[in-house]
Amino acid sequence: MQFAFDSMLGLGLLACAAGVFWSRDLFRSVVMFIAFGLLLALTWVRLEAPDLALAEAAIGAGLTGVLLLDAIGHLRQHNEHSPRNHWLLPLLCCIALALLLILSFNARPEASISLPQLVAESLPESGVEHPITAVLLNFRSYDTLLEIAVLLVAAVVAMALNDGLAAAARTSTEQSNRDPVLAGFTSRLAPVILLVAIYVLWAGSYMPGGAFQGGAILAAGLVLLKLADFHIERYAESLLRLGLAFGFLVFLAVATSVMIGGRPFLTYPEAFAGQFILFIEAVLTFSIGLILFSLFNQSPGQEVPHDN
Amino acid sequence: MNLIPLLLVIPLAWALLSLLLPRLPIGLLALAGIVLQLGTAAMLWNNVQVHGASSYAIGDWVAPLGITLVADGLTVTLLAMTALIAVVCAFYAIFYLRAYEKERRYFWPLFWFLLAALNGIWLAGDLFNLYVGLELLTLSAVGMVTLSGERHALAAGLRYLYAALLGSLAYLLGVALLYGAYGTLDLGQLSSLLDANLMTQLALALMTFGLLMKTAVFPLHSWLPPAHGGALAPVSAILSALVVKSSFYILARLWMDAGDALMPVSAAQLLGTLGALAIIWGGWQAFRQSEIKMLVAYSTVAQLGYLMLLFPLAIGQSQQSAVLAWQGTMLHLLSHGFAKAAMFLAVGTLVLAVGKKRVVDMAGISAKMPLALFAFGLASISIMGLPPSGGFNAKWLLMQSAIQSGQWHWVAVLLVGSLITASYVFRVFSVSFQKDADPQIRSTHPALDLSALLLAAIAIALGFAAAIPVELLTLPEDML
Repeated sequence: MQFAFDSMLGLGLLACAAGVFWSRDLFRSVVMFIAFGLLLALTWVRLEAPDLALAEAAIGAGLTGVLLLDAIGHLRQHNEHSPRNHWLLPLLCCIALALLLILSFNARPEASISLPQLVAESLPESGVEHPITAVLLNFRSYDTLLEIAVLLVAAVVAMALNDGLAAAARTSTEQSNRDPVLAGFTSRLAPVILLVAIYVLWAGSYMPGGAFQGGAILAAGLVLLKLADFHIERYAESLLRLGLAFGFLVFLAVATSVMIGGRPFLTYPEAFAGQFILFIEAVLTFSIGLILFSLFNQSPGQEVPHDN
Repeated sequence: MNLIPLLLVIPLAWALLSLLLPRLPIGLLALAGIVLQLGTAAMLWNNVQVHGASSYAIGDWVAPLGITLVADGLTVTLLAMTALIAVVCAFYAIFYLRAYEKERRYFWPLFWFLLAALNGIWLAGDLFNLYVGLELLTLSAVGMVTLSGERHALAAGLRYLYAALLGSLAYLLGVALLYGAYGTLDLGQLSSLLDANLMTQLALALMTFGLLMKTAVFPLHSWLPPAHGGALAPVSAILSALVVKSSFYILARLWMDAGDALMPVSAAQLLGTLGALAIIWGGWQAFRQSEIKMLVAYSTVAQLGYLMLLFPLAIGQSQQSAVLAWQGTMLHLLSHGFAKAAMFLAVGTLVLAVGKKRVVDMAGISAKMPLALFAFGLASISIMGLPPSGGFNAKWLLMQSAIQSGQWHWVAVLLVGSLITASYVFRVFSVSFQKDADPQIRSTHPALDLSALLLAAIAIALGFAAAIPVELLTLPEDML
């Protein structure tokens, strides 16, 4: 039974991937891509990686899908045709790589170091009970700090690209044409989304969840609000910019301030590690949500890049 | 207090500062920050010279559970080079960006994130951490390329992004395979564990492909010229001098750590051949370009080819030849960094003054802008590999290594490369010294000329003081 399910999942993934490449219409490609993301999330569940499944569903399928659909909308406005796919060479490369991977997987050496075991042994000292959170926010928190910087840079680049273009476009679409059904639905849904985001963040300390997943859910809520024409971001434009950097700011400040006590960079005081991690995760959730939302929010209006 | 984390905290803190408080004079603040970083790098250099290499466990978790940073001779040399080039580029940018009001706002945050990523990569001792560093580097570099928002810059930036992402994915797949096979991501541990089997070799091949893509080695170079040639002058300087070197640095570390046992001589010779082709093709394209910045950008493609000669000269050859190749390559990396940054800054000043981009527009410029042209000339001496310059010493070491290992074909490549370089450099000079032309120029701030001159002077000075960095540049331990 499970084998049947797994093979259907695998075939479905392949079919969706093929659909992404061979659809004539960009819109269909994107829909296939979203379906691919959802199947991939299911695959992660089957591989017993629920954290990855949550992230894949929220970011891979959800927000990326929204951004891609939005981009198609702009392409259509400018009557640009989808470029022709050169699929033969990539396909051959993929098949060759897949064969090599399968072959090498069979000849896999026995790993002499077991990191999961080390993580399990050090878990009591980490301040949290969920090993993934312990790795992300404690053992390898330096990676996470830089990842947050990557997200922030993405938002900064979007702002830089947008600065010249969007000011005009935004004012031109100022008049509101709010759909009453969507608006009513969204206004009831928004508090629930917020609650779910906070729950996922809180749950991260003892089960799958955490800042990235919570942030993605928060972002989804904000996107929904914007689509329903609520535009809460207009009330606090400058606050939004501070909010984008706030998570990184707090993370870096905590990471550095512990050095004053003579500890190495990013070492939480032993007794309070759990509280430190929860605090950092809370601000990260907030900022990740805003960053992901701002990537959507920054997409240009009617303008096209100018020639110079 | 340990200096290693400071080299990460300073750029990240300044990135936030310039992002959140744009009304402050962020250019001047940046200059203060970068001087601080230069001082820290110099002190760390001194520490390593006196006490030897040191490592730093972040969060007090030792590898493989945590991430370890490593500061050895090569690392501190690269940190010092980064800070030195960055301080001059920041000084240049303060004056250059006066003409670019809109771009200035976002230049500084991206500049600082880029520096943080570079410092992180030089210090990293962990394969996945290197991936994160590469991502941060790529994204800030792409952002800097597209700063102007012009159509050609956006196209170049997007192309750069796609190429770099493909490289990142290949690298990441390799990292995942190595982690699956050995259970650790720490470079130091991996170098003693690695063992010849299909999975390891596939992983190393994938990582090599990804890093070659990011280093823009022929034939994977086509993204580089539009990105480097189309960006603002200080951005081009940083991209060509530092950013492409970081992926090469990872590649070199990986190959030297894995060593002769894992890396087949044929693959090393193949990489050398790609390098030779890059030298010839890049040089020929540089000669053919009509825009002067594109000429300098193609020159980068050619000069990156010399770095690839490390592999055939070090893998499977004698100890002595490998040491010479390693020193020569790293000295080339340094002197090209300074010389190419100087070249881009000088050319940027010329383009700013003349207001046109083509080589022929520079006719008669020698009488009007002698200093910028002089800086370009000094930098060219090092790029061509004429004595006395860092470039000459580097090529001399590489040539000795080639002779020692009896690989005469690489000697021929080195000589032909210098001739091609001379041909495209003299093309610029023959135009700029035309006497009958009288170009109209806008006056530019003398600080612009001064910055280019300073970097060019350092490239030349490396010809006299090459021993200082070379002494520190020991090979990774298992090669000795």
